[in-house]
Amino acid sequence: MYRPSLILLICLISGAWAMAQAPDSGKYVFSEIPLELDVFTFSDSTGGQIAKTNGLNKQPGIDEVMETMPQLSVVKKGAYAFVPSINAFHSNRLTVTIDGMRIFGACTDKMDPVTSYVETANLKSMDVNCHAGGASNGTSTGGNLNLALNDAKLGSESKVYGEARLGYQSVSNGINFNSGVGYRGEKFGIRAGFSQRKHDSYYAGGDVYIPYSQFNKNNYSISSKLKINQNTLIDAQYILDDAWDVGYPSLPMDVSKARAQIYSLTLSQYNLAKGIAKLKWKLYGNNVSHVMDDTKRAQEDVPIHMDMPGWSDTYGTYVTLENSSTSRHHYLVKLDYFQNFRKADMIMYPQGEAPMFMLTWPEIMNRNIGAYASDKWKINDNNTFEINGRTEWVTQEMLSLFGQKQISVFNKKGDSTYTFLPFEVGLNHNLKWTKSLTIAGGVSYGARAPGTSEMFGFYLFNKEDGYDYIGDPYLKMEKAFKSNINVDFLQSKWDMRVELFAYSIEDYIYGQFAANIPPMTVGARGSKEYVNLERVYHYGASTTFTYRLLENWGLESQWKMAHAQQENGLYLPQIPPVSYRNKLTFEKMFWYADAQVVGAFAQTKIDPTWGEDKTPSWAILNFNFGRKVKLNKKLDLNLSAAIENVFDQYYWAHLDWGNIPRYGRNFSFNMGLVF
Amino acid sequence: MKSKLTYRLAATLIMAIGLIFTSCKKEGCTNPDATNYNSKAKKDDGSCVLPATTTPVVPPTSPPATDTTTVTDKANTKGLTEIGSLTIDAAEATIKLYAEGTLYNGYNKLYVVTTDKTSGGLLKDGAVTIQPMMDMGTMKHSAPFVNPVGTTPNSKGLYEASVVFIMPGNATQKWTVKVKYMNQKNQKEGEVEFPIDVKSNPNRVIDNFKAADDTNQTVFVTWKLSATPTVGVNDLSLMVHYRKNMMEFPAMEDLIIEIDPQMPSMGHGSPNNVNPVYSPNGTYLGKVNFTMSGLWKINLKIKRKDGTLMNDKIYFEYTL
Repeated sequence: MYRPSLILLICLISGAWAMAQAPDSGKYVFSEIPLELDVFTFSDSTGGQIAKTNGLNKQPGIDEVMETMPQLSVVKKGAYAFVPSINAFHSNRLTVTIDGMRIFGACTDKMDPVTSYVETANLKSMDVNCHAGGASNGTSTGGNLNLALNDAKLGSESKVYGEARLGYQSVSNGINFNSGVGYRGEKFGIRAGFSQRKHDSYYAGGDVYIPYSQFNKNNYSISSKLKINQNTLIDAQYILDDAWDVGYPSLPMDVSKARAQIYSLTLSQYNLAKGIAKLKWKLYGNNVSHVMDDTKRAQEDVPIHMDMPGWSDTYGTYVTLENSSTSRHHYLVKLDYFQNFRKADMIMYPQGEAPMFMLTWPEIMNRNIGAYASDKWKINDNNTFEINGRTEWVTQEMLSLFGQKQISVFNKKGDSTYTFLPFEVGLNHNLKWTKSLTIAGGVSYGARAPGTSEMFGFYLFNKEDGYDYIGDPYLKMEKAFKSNINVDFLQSKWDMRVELFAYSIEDYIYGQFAANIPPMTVGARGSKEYVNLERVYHYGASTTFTYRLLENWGLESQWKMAHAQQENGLYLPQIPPVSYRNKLTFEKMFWYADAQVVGAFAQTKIDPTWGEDKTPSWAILNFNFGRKVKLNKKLDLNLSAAIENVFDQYYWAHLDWGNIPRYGRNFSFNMGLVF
Repeated sequence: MKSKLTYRLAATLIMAIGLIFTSCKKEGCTNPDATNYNSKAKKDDGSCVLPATTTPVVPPTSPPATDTTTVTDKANTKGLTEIGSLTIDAAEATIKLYAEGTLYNGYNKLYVVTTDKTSGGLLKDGAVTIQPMMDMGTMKHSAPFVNPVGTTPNSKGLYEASVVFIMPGNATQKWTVKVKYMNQKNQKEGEVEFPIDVKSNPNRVIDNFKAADDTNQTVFVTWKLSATPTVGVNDLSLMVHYRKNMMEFPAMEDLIIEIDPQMPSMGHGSPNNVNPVYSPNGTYLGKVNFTMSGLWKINLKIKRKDGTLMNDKIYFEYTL
């Protein structure tokens, strides 16, 4: 939920889904039901109407959406639950939030990124906040991905609205179904949604079957909004996301159950006092459980059967205060608290022996109090200056006595409370040089506390490099000095954005081979312990070029690259190579079509100690077609079809684990009714 | 589970048979201290009869912090299991023998309580010695043990002793423990013999080997469990004895011991273990680390002081 003030902080502007994007927002906005404008001045619901016009209503899954966002890449372990990577930062380096709510996956092996617990139908937009403006929801070295939820609406005249979308794709014999129905009145609104995704294991290029790549999920959501008086709103939201029988072809285990319940209650008070245009107070919680499963694998691939469940429970609250966004000084203050409890264990069943048990996350309690403030100062029409800062008080504690005994084998203390005081300060300057040229630059310095696995993970196996990872509670905070510069050219026929960023990171947290620690996992190559690397350099660039060829024809080209190196010259792992997405579009009335060439260069700058190998370049061709039919005044029918990977290429991207090839030629059909 | 137990029973049986066979080769008593010492005998047959004054060489035990003035009139046997109660008429004393629970092959603590035969009052002055004995039918042998220190019981009124039962007992092969008591009051002594039920240990906490050098010593290595091992860091306390003859099992104090704990079904070990080194209280002290519950195997490597390898095949096993 970002007001225009914060939008300027957002790192990149345009994206592949240009038709789905506000011209200067840098967020991905999902197509949604046409709305009447909200009754309040400081509405959060911006941009909701932008995407509805074209017929491309494939309603992609959240994983596919992330791939197309200019500053995001994804780490893939199968056909589901892609791990978002902002400018090649991922996992503990990112803060992923849902409406500003903190939530953490329950899987020690990072098989359930937070994004896997929501559906696009739950969302209004996805906002990437990084560089000098990424700290409002939590300190991080890589930035923040915030998923803004689709809330219930109010309207001046009562109306029932709804949508139903059904899609089929051939490559995985998969069904995507999204539906929602809502009511909005002057004082009360409610919306309920249901999504289902059922996919079999898919075929890669050349008809190569990829076993254990199936997935199934149901997502239920309900949200309501109540207007108490002219200035007061109450929102209540609940999401239940339930995935089962999810295959992970690049891992030795699958997932039998992954479930999240996400709920919140929000009070919004407008025009509270002079200088406080909006107060928002949210209370929230979420409960995530995750169960890995090796029972479906061939017996010879499972040296020892094991159960690996995990749990993550987070409760928190935050308050934001801000003045009118049209003020010369637009400030925002945010105070927040959350606590996250995570537990995971592992029970192995050797034949004819007692079961073996260990706590892989030995009941870790993370408490966090944070304060954030920003001031956006509009010096004149062409100059905007912003300063923002955040500070946190973080404690990490191991509650399990068993876990404390476990960690004592490494001569480390598990019974202490570890306290961190991370902070982040950022400065941004936006200069509108000429009518057609805008330059924005930012610098920031910040730190993040180490995460649960980095501090307390106990023999967490990483299939990609074949090592067991051991946490270290004595880790120092990771600190980053970040700088970025964005240049926008706006012409009548074309526009272009170039973004450059450079980070210098101190005490970079990294798994380093520990010869003295024997591994636990059968077949593991050894153990790695998290350490602080002295310094790491990370830089990258991205550019988006849009050209309006003719009245109905458009051309769009998006490129991104990133580079990360240690001080000693060694490369860091999981850095995507130069990649691109080029698109030729045709739009006329209710027709839409595009042809896309998507690909990446070879990646040879790798970290072999991490188990990576070089990835060859790849490119695929996709076609999309869409048609919108107005059945009557109130009812729209959207039809679309797509062919992805037209030439049935056998390929994988560098961040795909295990070099598991991606979808082969895929025909998909979608149909949507909107009323 | 069942096959494991069978395996362990079989292993114990093989150990016992091994003992018998090694004894079969013996031709007489080789202990010069024995009353029936046979200078021609090349191998000890276990027939040595030791003079009453000879007590086996045992590792010294740190004296219990005994303050005789605080010894109570009634022994505190809370938490202990009574093995038996026998009377020595000569010394006018009743001897009660206690253990900390079921006795297993391996290291066990024994406690002796001496009371006046008639009044039942605690006797606080007198010397207690013990003598464990295994009767295998064809032969007898003792075991490593430690006698109570001093002539007074500890503050709880108990004489503390310990025995390393080197094999479990069964229907035909039975352990006994003789307790000899010298009553200082009447200056009379006598002894009683308690039958002892030694069960087969579900965990392998004692192992033995024949030294690979020309000494041909049979060496027993015992894991002295002071507390139930747990996941995490555990103190590891080992005792090593060799069989000098069937009655004498002196402690070996100058060995180099290396440990390597492994989970056999996972094929991994644990970090930061500390090899046990000899400490003045008669045991080798080190640290053993277990990273998870389940079956752990501690492989042992025993070397002489000069580094000569004695054995690297023996091991302990414990299910956490």
